[in-house]
Amino acid sequence: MSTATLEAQDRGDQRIHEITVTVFAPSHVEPKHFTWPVTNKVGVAAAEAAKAFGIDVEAPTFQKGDDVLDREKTLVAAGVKEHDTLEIVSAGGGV
Amino acid sequence: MTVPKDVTIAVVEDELLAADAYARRHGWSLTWLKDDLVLLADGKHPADQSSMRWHAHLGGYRAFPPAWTCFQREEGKDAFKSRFPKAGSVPGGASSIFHSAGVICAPFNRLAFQEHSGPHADWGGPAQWMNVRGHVRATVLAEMLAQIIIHLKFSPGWQ
Repeated sequence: MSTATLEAQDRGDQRIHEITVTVFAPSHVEPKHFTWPVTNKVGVAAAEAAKAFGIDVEAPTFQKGDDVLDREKTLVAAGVKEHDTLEIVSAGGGV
Repeated sequence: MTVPKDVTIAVVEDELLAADAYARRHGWSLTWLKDDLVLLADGKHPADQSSMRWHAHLGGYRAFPPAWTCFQREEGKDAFKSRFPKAGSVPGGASSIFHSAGVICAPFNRLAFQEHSGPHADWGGPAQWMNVRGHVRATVLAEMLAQIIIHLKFSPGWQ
């Protein structure tokens, strides 16, 4: 296999292993777009997104539709897919 | 500490666009009663799909958090009665914000503080609401609404 083919394959794998999502923060009207490796943990990605929005969130995670994602799962294990729309929320509790 | 009414109105109206956008994305609607400093959030309890209303009294906001109360629409009537959601298990082991005493037990609710007959004497008083850590954090109306809607998803019904 040629070097060029191998490089092309690497680029292809990299594309497959990253996803681009749209992220809203409740306190902002406009969303932002992020591209992350699918192996990133939800909590890490949510913290990065919160920082980009300039918001202070306790235990940040994502809400996808009605579901609140487990911060400890990877994005792929949590079911996040290419072009998903997510919302940053706090996973902290009350009482 | 007293917050002039026009200051609270300006602060709320600055937040309202984002809060309204969040509410719409999640099937809720907001009504801002400026003269009364009251924000109403209307939606449905996911457990039984009954219509519900959260009432946030915003006097003194943001020096103090809103006072949140909850109502359920009476079936077949254009009237609401005071009711409160049951606490449910929230993923990740977090405690529900819905307290058995019928208050949102989070720093963003004035009624959670002992000074307002709430259970918390350990949060430094309502003026310290934005400095309380280790609990759910919501410092603007849209974030509060998000927490209420999320915790409602795990509520099994009404108290």
